[in-house]
Amino acid sequence: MENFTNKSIDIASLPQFEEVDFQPISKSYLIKSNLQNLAFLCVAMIGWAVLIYYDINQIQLIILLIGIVLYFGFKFWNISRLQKNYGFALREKDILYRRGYLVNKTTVVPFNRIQHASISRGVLDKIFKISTLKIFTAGGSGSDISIPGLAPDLALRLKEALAEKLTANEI
Amino acid sequence: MKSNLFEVPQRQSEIGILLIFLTRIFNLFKGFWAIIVYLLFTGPGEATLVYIVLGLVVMSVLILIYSFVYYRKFLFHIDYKNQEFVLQKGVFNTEDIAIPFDRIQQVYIKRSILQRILNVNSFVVETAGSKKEEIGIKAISNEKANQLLAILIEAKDRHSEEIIDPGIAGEPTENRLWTHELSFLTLLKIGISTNYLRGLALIAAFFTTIYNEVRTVSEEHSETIQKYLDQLPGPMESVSIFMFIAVIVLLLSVLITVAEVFIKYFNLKLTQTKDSLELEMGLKTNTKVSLQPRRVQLLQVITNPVQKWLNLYEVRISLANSENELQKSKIKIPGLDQATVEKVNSFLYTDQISGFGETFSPDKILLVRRLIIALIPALVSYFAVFFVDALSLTTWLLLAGLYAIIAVIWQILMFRSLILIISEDLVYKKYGVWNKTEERLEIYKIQSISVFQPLWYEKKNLVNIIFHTAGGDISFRTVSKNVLPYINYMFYKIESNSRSWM
Repeated sequence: MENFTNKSIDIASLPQFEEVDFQPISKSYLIKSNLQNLAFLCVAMIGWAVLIYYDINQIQLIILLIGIVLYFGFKFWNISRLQKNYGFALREKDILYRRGYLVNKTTVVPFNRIQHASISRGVLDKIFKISTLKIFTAGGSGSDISIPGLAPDLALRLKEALAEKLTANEI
Repeated sequence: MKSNLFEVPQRQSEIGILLIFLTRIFNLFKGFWAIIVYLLFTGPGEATLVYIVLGLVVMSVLILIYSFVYYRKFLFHIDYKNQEFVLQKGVFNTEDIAIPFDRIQQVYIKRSILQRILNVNSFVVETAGSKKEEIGIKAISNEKANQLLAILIEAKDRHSEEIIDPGIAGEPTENRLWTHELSFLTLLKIGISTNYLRGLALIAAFFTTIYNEVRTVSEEHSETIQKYLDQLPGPMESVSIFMFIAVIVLLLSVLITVAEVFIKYFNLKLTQTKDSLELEMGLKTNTKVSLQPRRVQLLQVITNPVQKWLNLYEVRISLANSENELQKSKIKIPGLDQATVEKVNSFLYTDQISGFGETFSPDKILLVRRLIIALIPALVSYFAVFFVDALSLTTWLLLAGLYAIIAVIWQILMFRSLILIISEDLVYKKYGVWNKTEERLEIYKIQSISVFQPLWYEKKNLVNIIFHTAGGDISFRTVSKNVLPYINYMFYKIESNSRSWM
């Protein structure tokens, strides 16, 4: 019984990860995602247009078009939703990353479990001046996080901060 | 640090351009070999040949430019201030990787034939969980490679010396050394009790094929069959023939599995030494594994009612192997009696002072969801009634009904068996209808935790949780948000503990 009371005080007073304020990611990422989606839409439309020249009946073509419109419509809607839910937060001893609209997912990686970090930038990232911070752990792909749409200097600062904590944490 | 070698970012050997170029060309040919072979065999006309050659030349020039840019952009150095090895690379996608010294698991040099010809080396750095050759330099001169190797190995060793595992340095656990060997009889028991399901499936498959055969044949030659059946001694006898065949099939499947078990686990010997469990087994290939408590990431204990009655438990262990990339494959140790399982447990998990143990069950919504998913096949199969002549509505009702009853019972039992227990140091997950599984992991061995909340769980205050470890994930679905304080407790545990997790 003693242990029980002891515990309830302890646990309730611990810092709560779900109460942390998340920092949003750059607006440029929204533009990038939309642009990418647009590019895919173009490819799909070209593919559909090519089909017209083949002997395919009208109904199938229309169904296909409706499918394409619905899918990409959903994508555009989802992208705008997703953007609002991207967020990260740095605490004293761990990093939090939140994403997802339909399924909201928060991953918390303690600094003393990070293996290494990297910054990667694709061509579009360079145009929009954003980068992705990747954090690797030993827990497999589900455990690794990659935070997109960070301003390059912010990404660099975050990486530096992680590196410092990584070395300071041990001993 | 006596010298600050590699402090300034540097490039690979210049000959590396050639290496990059040749590798790219080779990859290109590998990708297009089918087209090339096709062209060679069809014998292209002069005009096409010119185009092809022209194309190849342009391609080669582009690749050469690419290789050159790649070479220019590929930079590596050692950051002595932050104690990291830094790598920058990429032409279109740039990647900037930093590896802290204390996370380096392994550094090594290797050469392929091409690299040997060009007299350069591959330099590879591995961390726990990194994919093979994720972090590496492809073309580095001998001299530099050896210097870099020496520096990184020194840095790595210096760091690993600093971390003395308090778990080992702590109170010496009672070292009652013991050995557990699997007897012939136990092996036989395992063989018989493990795979009856496969045997059952085999028999089911056997009977359905026979049934189908008989049906098709009987439709075609119903008269001859009738004659043949008349000649048969009677229905009872034909049933007994079937029974006879069934028994033989069953025996065969049991025999096969027994043989399999014997080959795999023959001479299984589990020995506890001072600081590890030594496992030895196998007839054909002798497997030898040393299980150190701190390397163990995940432990599963599996049994089923038959095996429980025979006092047989199977233990599966996921290890983190520092030697190479993480060994994801689990080590299976079958045929342990309960006392031995306890011994293994108390050896692997020294601190089991359970201050509290909070039990969580999934929400009913999980059961509803699983039932719906399980019943979909039954509903979909209804369409088969229209398309398959042989299937009448009544048979469908019978089959689908039978399936539905079994599925519902199974899902309810499965749902009831699912529990998550969080104690001061350990997390347990228990589940299973027939094969009862208990998974356990130490909180300080968790790498990270993901909390999922689908939109439709928000009102119900439910979340899905995944614990990521170096030996695999443990997930638990639709658990009430009351679990979150315990998740926070886990972070407190992980972050306040400097114990090395492997």
